[in-house]
Amino acid sequence: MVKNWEKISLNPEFRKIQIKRGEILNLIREFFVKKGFLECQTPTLVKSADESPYLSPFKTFFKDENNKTYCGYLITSPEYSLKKLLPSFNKIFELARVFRGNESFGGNHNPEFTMLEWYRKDSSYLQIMKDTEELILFLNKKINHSNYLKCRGEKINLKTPWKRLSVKEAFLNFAKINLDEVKNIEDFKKKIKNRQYFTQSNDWNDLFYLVFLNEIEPRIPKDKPIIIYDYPLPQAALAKKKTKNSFYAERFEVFIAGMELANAFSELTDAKEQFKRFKEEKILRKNMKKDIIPIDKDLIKALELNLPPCGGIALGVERLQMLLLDISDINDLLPFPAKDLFNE
Amino acid sequence: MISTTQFKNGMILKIDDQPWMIAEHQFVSPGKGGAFTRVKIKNLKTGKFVERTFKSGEEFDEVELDRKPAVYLYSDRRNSVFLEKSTNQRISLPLESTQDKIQYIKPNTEVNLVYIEGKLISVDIPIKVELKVIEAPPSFKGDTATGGLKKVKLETGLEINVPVFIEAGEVIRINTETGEYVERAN
Repeated sequence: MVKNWEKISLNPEFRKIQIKRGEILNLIREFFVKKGFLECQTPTLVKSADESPYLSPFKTFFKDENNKTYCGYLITSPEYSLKKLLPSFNKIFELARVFRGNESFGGNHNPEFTMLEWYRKDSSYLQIMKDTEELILFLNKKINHSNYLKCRGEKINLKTPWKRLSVKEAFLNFAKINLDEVKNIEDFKKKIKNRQYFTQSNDWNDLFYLVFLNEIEPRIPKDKPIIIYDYPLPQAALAKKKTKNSFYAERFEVFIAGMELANAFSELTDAKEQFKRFKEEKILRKNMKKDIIPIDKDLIKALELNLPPCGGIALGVERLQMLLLDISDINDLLPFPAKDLFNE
Repeated sequence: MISTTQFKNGMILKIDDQPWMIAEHQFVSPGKGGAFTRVKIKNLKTGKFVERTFKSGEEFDEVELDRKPAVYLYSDRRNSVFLEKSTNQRISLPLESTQDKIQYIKPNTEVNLVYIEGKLISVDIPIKVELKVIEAPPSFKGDTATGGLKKVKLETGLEINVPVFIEAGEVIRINTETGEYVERAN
């Protein structure tokens, strides 16, 4: 097997991909610095990783000078650290290396990848939508010199504003399901009983995604970017509810050429509510026989500082690079994909 | 039972009492939910392709397959012809169902004919095969324009990318599942 670093040493085409990747990183920094954002560097190794029961953070042990052993995790996102800086700074961003276990080597996934996150104080997910549109249009103009992105056989018009579709509309239009009628797992199960998903799952989120991946995602238009917004509560652990008693929270995802590129929230800034959701997630983790991760008490403390409304987003940088350079497999983008490092 | 984690292209599953062959499979993890496996599957009775996404870890019944040893003889414009060993009978399979396989095998290669409920549906070929390179463009020292790879033609007519140091006349090993060059055989 010829590994990617060997191909790069031999082939100017592969070399060009790496040069373009570097340019994209520089342009991302240029974009945010110009807008007055502060670039932050937060730790990769932390004590409390993301509580989400659906993530498998890398666990690691290390020793100090007295040979005392510590247990830590590699971050799956720099979100917790960045939110602790939010009381002190208005606009921050980070390009962080993140790690996720139980994911495939290739396609749209690699266990280690780069996450671009940015946060705005006194703001909401609506402003973050605008930032995202502007950033991607800016990058495409610089890299591909056009308002159109040619990718995966599609010619995608990046002109802003992009199409927006609420999760509720998407379920109604494409899957004929009114989410308000399936808030309860038993109702949801009944509703999709005849749809042949062959699942025994008792997790509301599994049913949500089975419908989303089977009936909605394939029907999302691919010739334009699309922002899917307002997710049901079980799908939004760190997002603010739309209204006090709403079943929906202010979260959006960006899809380009059928690929999920970014995930954003109006951040949950209510310390009590956040602590409650963490505890619920911890129980879920336990039920799923996953590692019990200590709750990040500093994050709760930071939220207690009466944070104003905030907006924030996590965007997969490699996926963005794949789109801009029209590369369909992450293994053709990375100089050292996990496939080359760990599979002989 | 077969779990999604064991999925491989070419595997045959029973879904709604129908035999389906996995044509493509991809891991999908939406982040705020569990992991899922997206497959493109072919109904072996109707030939129809469908895309489906299953929750990772879900289990499926495997279809009972009957494998009978045979030898590949030749292909003409319509069919590939095999000699089934136990019965010494010549068996034909339409080219469209064998094309992606026979490009890797020479006549006299040992294969398995695959039956479901008595119906011949496909042929299994070895995962690794050795084939001779019959045409290879010359490579020059310091030739970096082609990425350390070049396209050569094999004795079955198949064209494949190999490292530049491979010359015509050499025998190379190929993985028939990935279609990729593995190593020099000699």
